Amino acid sequence: MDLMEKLKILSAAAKYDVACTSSGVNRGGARGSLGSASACGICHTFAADGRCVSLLKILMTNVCVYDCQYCANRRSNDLPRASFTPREIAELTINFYKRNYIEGLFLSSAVIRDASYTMEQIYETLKLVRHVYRFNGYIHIKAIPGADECLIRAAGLLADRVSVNIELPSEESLNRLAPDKTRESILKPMNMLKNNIIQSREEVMLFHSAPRFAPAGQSTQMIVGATPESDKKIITLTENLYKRYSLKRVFYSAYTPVSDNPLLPAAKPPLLREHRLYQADWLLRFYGFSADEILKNADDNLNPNLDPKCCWALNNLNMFPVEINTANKRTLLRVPGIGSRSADRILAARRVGLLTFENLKKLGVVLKRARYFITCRGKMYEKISMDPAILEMKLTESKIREAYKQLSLFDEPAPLADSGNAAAPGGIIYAYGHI
Amino acid sequence: MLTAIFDGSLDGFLSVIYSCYYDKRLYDYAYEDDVYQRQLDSDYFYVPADPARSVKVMDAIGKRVSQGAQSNVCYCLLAADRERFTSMLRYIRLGFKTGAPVDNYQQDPHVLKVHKLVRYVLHEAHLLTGFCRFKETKSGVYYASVSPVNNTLPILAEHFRERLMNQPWVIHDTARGMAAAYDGDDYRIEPVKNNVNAERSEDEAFFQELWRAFFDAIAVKERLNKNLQRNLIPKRFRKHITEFRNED
Ligand code: SF4
Repeated sequence: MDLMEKLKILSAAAKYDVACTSSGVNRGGARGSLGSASACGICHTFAADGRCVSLLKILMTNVCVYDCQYCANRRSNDLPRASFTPREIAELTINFYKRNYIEGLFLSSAVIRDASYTMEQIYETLKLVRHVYRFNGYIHIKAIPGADECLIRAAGLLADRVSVNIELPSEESLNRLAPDKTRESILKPMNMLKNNIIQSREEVMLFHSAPRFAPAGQSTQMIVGATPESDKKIITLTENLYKRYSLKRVFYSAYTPVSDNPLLPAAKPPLLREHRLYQADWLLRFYGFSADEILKNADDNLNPNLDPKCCWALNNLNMFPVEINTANKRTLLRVPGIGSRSADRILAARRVGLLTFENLKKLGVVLKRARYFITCRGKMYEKISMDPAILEMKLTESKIREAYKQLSLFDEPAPLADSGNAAAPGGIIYAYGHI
Repeated sequence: MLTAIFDGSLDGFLSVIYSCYYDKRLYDYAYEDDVYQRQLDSDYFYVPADPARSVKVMDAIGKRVSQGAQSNVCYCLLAADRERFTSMLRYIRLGFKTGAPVDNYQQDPHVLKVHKLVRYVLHEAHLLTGFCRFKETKSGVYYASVSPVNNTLPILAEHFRERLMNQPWVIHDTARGMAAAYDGDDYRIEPVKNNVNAERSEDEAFFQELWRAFFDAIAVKERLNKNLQRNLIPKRFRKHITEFRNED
């Protein structure tokens, strides 16, 4: 099979992996090497689905001995299979990088033969790319659960980020849909990665030249909408992952159903739900919210019509309005419509004078939502009663139109299968890409 | 109303500032001489660029205002806005009064404008660090063309010097007829003709084809969102971007 054919199959098979960020590590160029890394992340292009492409995202192979029900690569599915050699991956990475198509490599894999063998293939590829091709750009790899820890560790020393996918939000769902995987087998390598990352950080502080283990940290992703867990369950799990495993990111992937498998739903991918989960995730990571503040009861779901910060504000109206000229940063960040950039600008500008609504507009603070929740020098923007029902209506009107536009929810129904999976009519095309 | 006219260079601009304090001419406006149209109600002076004065002023900005103000001046200079020098001038004059907190005076229209232009320049440069596409030529030099709104070439050259350290490259700003050329060691920015000869290497077409195939395969068809794609990668960049062209 020629390189073009392989690339088509193995990139189509990797496309559902959502993490495509290259951020988190700054590394200058080095003499005789190709590449550098930029902590803020660089998008190189945007695919037709609007997602940022920054890494050459491919599977080592899509030949799989496992049988995860939500995945196109599962053993029992009939579809074209292919495998790259380490050299082919190195050539593609280097040649794409030299043309500035990509920021680096995101290498994942189905489980070929067994977990350790697969991990070894990934490790061999990284060795070639880093040592022989002298590639100094960004590399993200998947750790294959169940693989020999020495191999994961060795590969982690050559990668910028390592991730293990948590796959589904509960153990029960995992048992039902991914019979070859267990919660244990996923959490174990996560824990091991965490320890290695912490240890390496400490060593680097002591000896600058100590080897760096996954300097951009670890991330994970889970499928939402394939199984019945509530949003509360999902964001609580997320919160725990951030806390216990010091993850850098948790990614969500709306399940794309095209299966008649009775174990899986047949609705369209829940894009709006995925969007709301990312917003809630943002509140956890940057705005100092806890999962319990965002949703109260175990089976609560996020409100599709309002972003989670607005919802929280409506449930806590006693904390509003907030005076722009005196509120601290933490409080400002809890105002709907005020993000960290706006908050910083407000803090800077008010040092040299009291702010009015006019000033806020000039600073580029968007008042569409914020105006209901703030005062400037004690004055509200307009007369409005602080009645949650009225506010909710006001906030929904504008918001929901925006969300629809952004997500194109009402576009024509998309065709079911793409070329890579067309051979499996009625099969599940949710290629989850590596473990 | 007092207007300074100068050559539009960084040295020139800093010499205008120097003249404010040493010739006691507190200019209200500053323009590049190409774009300045004489106005009857305004006195104007031509201020020649003087590298020695420029160094002194840059130093003073660093010490008496802040390093942030220094870099704001450098980036703002690259913006495509003919009023930029006036705003930079007022910004620095205010800075000498207030010191480092000048950046908090966002109610001041000139401070706001400088910040806005700097953000615009940096944003466009950041986009181009991703969107810029190189082609391998017969001679082994990698060639890229861009046509940004702002003069982002100096920022791009710094970026790619780090990134593509072991390969010679040229980045050609076709909108300004300027190019940054890197020889594996250092780069120079010079004017060039617009019909440069950049014949492709033998492998070039093959890798472009592979890239286009990857680009098509990676989109999830169930989530097509061309509107979003259009917003994120504006049309004006596309004529230089391999995956949005049929051939190169
Ligand atoms: S999710 Fe991974 S392990 Fe499971 S079938 Fe797909 S490729 Fe194989």
